[in-house]
Amino acid sequence: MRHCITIEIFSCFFSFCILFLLFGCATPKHSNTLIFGTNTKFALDVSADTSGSPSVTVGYKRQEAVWMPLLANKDKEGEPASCTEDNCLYKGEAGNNADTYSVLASFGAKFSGTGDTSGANAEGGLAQYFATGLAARILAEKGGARLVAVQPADSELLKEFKEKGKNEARSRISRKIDILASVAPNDTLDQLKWETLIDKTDLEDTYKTGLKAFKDFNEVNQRLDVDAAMNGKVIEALHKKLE
Amino acid sequence: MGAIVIKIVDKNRPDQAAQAEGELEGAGFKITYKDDADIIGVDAIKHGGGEQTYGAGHVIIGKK
Repeated sequence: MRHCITIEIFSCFFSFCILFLLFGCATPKHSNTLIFGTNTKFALDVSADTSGSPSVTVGYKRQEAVWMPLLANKDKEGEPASCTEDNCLYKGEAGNNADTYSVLASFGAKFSGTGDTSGANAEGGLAQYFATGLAARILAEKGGARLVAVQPADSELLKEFKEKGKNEARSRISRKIDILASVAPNDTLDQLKWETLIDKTDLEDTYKTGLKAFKDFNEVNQRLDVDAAMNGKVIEALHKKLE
Repeated sequence: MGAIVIKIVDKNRPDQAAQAEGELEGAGFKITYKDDADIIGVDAIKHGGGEQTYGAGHVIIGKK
C-alpha cells in the first residue's frame, strides 16, 4: 500500500524500493532494505505596515529519511531473521488481505497571522508522522491521519471521541442502576446481598475488601459513579454476576 | 461530600483527553479543572499488556 498525500501547504512524500534497481530479477528477490523519506517546507510572512515596524517571518524546512531493514529480528541482539532464497517475502497481512510492506505518511499544518498598526501576530502548528507495517495499515483504516493532524480543540474528530466517552459512561450508569436495584431496593442497601454479590465476582481481594466497607446506599452509589467515570471495572464485574 | 475523579492522560493524545472528558460528563461529573501538568513522578502506568512511561500528562478533574 502506498500513499502520496499533499495537505494544506506543501508536503511531498515519496517512497521507493531499491530492490529492483540493485538486483533486478536475480536472487534474492528482495534486498533487506526499505528507503523512505519526506521533505517538508513552509513559509509565513506577516507584515503590519509599510514603515517596517511589526513583521513576522517564519521559515521551516525539514527532511527526514529512513533506511529500514525489512526482516524482523530473531533475537534481542538484532540478528535478522533468516530466510532462504525462496521464502524472503516482505508483505503485510490482515486476514485474507496481503500487500507489499505498508508505509503511511501524513503531514498537517495550520497557520494564521494578523497585523495592524499596533502590532502583528502569527500562530502556527505542525503535525507529522509516518508509520510502517501493521501500524501504517491500522492508521490508514482508523483515520490516523486526521488524528495526528493539527486540529482545534473543538474539531469534529475530538467531538467524536468525547461522545464515545459519554456513551460508554452512560452505558455503565445504566448497569449501575441495575446493580443498585438488586442490592439496594428502595434506596436501602441490603448488606448481605451487596457482600454476596461482591464475593461472586473475580475482582481482586483488595477491591472486594474496599467495596464491602461501604455500608449505605449513598456510599455505594457514589463509588459506582466514580467507577463509571473511570474504567467501569467494578460495575462490569458486579453486573456480570447479577441474577 | 461529593466524589472527585482525577484522570491523567497522555499529553500528546488529544483523543484520550476528549474521551476522558466525555466519560466524566457521561457519568454526571462536572469538569472543574484541566491542565497540562508535569507528572514525571508517575513513571510507569500499566497500559494494555505492558508498561508505558509517560513524561508529562493532561490532568482532568471532575467533581460531583
